[in-house]
Amino acid sequence: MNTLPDSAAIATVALPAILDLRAATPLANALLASRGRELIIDAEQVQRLGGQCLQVLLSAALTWRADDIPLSISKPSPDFLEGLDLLGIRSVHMLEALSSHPGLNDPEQDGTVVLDKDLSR
Amino acid sequence: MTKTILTVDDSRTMRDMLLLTLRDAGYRVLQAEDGEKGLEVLNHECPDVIVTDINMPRLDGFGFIQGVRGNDRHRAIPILVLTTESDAEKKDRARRAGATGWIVKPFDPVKLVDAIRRVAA
Amino acid sequence: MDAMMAIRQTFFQECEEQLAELENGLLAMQNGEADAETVNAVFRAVHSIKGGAGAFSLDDLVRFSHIFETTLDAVRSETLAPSPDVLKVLLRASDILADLVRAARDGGTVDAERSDAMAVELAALSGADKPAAEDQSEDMAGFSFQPVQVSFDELDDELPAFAELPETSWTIRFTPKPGLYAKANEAALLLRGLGELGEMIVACDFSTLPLLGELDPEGAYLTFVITLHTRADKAAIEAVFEFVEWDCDLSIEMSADTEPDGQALNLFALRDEMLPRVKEEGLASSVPAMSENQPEDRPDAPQAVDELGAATSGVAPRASLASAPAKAPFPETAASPAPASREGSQTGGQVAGESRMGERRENERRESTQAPAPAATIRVDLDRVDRLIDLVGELVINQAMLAQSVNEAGLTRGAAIGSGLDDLEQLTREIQDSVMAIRAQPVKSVFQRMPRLVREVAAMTGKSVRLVTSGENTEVDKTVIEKLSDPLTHMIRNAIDHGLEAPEARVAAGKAEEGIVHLCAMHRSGRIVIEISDDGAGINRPRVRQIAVDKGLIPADAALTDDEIDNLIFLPGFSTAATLSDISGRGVGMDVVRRSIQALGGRISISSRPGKGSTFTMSLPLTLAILDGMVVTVAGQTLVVPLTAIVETLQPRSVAVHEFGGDTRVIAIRDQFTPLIDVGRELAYRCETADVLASVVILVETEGGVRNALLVDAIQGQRQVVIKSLEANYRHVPGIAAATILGDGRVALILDVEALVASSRIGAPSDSVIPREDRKTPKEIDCYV
Repeated sequence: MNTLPDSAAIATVALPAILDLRAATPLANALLASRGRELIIDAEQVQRLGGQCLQVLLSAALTWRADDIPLSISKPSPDFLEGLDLLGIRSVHMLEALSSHPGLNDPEQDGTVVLDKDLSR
Repeated sequence: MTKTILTVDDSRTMRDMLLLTLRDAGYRVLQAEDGEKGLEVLNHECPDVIVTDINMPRLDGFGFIQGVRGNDRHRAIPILVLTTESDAEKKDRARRAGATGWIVKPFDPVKLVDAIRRVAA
Repeated sequence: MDAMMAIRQTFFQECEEQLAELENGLLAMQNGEADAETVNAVFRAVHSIKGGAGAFSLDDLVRFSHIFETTLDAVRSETLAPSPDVLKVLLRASDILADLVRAARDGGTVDAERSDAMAVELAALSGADKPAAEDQSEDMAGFSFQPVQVSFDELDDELPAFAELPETSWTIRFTPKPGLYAKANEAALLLRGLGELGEMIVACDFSTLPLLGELDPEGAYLTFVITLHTRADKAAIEAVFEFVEWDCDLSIEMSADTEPDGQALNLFALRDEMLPRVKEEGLASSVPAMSENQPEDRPDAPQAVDELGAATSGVAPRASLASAPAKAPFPETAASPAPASREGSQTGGQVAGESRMGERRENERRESTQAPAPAATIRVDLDRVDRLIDLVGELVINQAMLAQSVNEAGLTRGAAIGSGLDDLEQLTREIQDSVMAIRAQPVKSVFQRMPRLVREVAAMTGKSVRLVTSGENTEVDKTVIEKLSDPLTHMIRNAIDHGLEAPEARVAAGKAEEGIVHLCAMHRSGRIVIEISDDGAGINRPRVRQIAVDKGLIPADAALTDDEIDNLIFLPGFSTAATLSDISGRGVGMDVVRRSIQALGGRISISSRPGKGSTFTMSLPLTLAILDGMVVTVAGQTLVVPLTAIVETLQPRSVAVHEFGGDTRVIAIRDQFTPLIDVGRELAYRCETADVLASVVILVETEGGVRNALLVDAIQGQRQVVIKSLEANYRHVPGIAAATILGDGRVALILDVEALVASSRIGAPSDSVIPREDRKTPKEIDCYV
């Protein structure tokens, strides 16, 4: 899984506002599509975080760590942090720490994947 | 943002009571008089919570719940079922059809609003 | 409490609808016309009544409907077969339920003995040994519906109502299953609910979580281990998980170390201690599985969490809002890992985030708006509709007056103004029809009161009767409907009491023991016709004739056709019952029925076949507001003849008129001798006989197909007129149905053709049903508009 070209090195996945039951599968697909690249998960828009989307994010962190590629969370919204907190993830760093990589230096990137905003009601 | 509740009940009395209670609690209330009408409302509205009766003409509560859960756009909407007594059999059927929770009829307004708050994101 | 009163009113209205539904359904079942949906509807009706009754604490009603519902449920689930005997009980039960509803509504009392006896009967049917009244009242008690101003603050205080315990620590292991999410429950919300009970630390165990490629995004892999420091008891904690009991694994244990004040603090201390370690280690290289028997194996909670936190989970303290310490706001972004020393303020930021959420909730509550309920029907105050109808009536008159003015001004129909007027007339008529349609209702509402009446009368007379109805959906003006109930009630009583024979007599006559009363409504040439027929013995003509002679209603030698004899029963003071029976003889004869129907602009007649039964036919206008009429002149007066009565108009030739001595004249129309009625004389406008050759004959047909020729001076034309009640504005005038205002502003009287024919038919004017002193017909009435 480390064989992907380094040129499209950094991917960004922007999380939608509502991370509920319906958002889990598209989120998993979007993250999978970025596998093998450095990943920035943009959590700025998040208003609601559910258990299943948390699972996907945690699984992504584990996956990126298994691939030995950095993953970071950018601009977490207060609601996102509160959601993590409620579900037993103390902070965004806990999530990032799973991938055991220092954060990225350069937030400018290509290969952005944006989730369908219409998922949110 | 004001949350919207869809109430589905063939009894005008019950709809009026739900309206009074929910409006006082600060919700926007939509009404439908049976399951079919309920599904019609969902064509152009996306309520935050649905409160539905079981015994209704045309499309009953069970069928209505299945209809909601079977539609990707709506399957994440919490559905509370009104059951007359703590009827275990009906509660069980409703649950299996995909109900999120239930409220015993005649409902205690405080408990109703609490139940909505518990399931509404 | 206005809103509650309104709902209560709605409830009782709805009860009436449900009762009708119940009865109709049961009757359909009795007639073998019921399908599964009918049985469901019957069940639902009682179920609904019970539901509403419970909300208003109408205990008697709740108790009875519960027992009734249980029996109906047995029918619905096919454990009780709806045999004719069972249905009879159910029908009687529906009557008692109706009484209980009305008693609850009007504050009256019901015969408790009767309803108790029925409850026992119902319970016996459903297999319950005795009415489960007590269980039920327990179930329903205490849920009296009262509107409350629900505030979330109050909710937080009041719910869940847990016992005041000393602060205790609980360890809760919560593992959602996929079904929990699929039913739109949410782990995050459940944890939020738990957090409201006290101080909480959540640890998330994701040791079973696969890598992204193998992950089912809608699966469930997490276990949450919650340490809760609260005064709530176990039941209150369980209540949080009430809805997900089947969709998760849950264990709730009181922490072995119930050291009230130390527990939570220890955890917080532990967390601070642990965090740097997590950062430094970046979590262990693999994710070790959690100990299977956690926390049983390790009753020492802090230690367990220690291990969890270090190895497989995050540990987050959740303080209840009240005890949340004020901390620094959360930094704008956290794109790069913060040094461990910043963790404290991060946590503070989360708490601050939560308080913001609290404010938001507060705002939501204030922003409440009323939702437009999607509905196919609206309910409108009747007064508003009537006002609209009045206005449309004025519009019709105004339009007619305008047309007349245009006419008088000598403008031809071909001119633009003429076609404009035609359009206006067309439009006016359409508006009128539409407005009248608003008031139209199916006669069902009256018809459905009759089955009960039939049962009661059948019980009192010891006769066996089946009521068959048809055409319930025939629509007629609401006013007409309201006034239909009394005459119908009386006629049905009459049909059972006098029409049907006793069961033995029926059997002797080779008929079925059960008599049939057929109630039927239909539209016929712009009127509604209602027929009540029975398959009884028919009118006993010799006896009716004898009674009429005995009572001096007809001369002993009067030559009457069968039809005329039958119609004698409508004469005032006529009663065929030898004794005043309990049912028909309530001091009301068929004459009163006829008068009340005539007051509606209606007619009634009877036809009878000896041994086969009788049919009462009444015909009523669809509306009491508008009439298509022919405007005629009689003795200088303008009168309106309802168009519905008119067959044709013709100019008589002398050869066609024959005198029958006295005042009686007939006219031969196509070889048929038809009685000629001189309207001018009949209404006492003039004493002299009209010159037939200078007059116009209007051939009218009355109920039963009887034709008569009305003699008028001239015909002015046909038009639609707005009916103004004479009785409301003046008084009842025999032979006159109502009045109207014509286009030129003049008042015209509308002829009551039926009454006019009747008064001329029963022999000479001296025998007329119209008393002499009443025969002065007002010529000019200008005081009432």
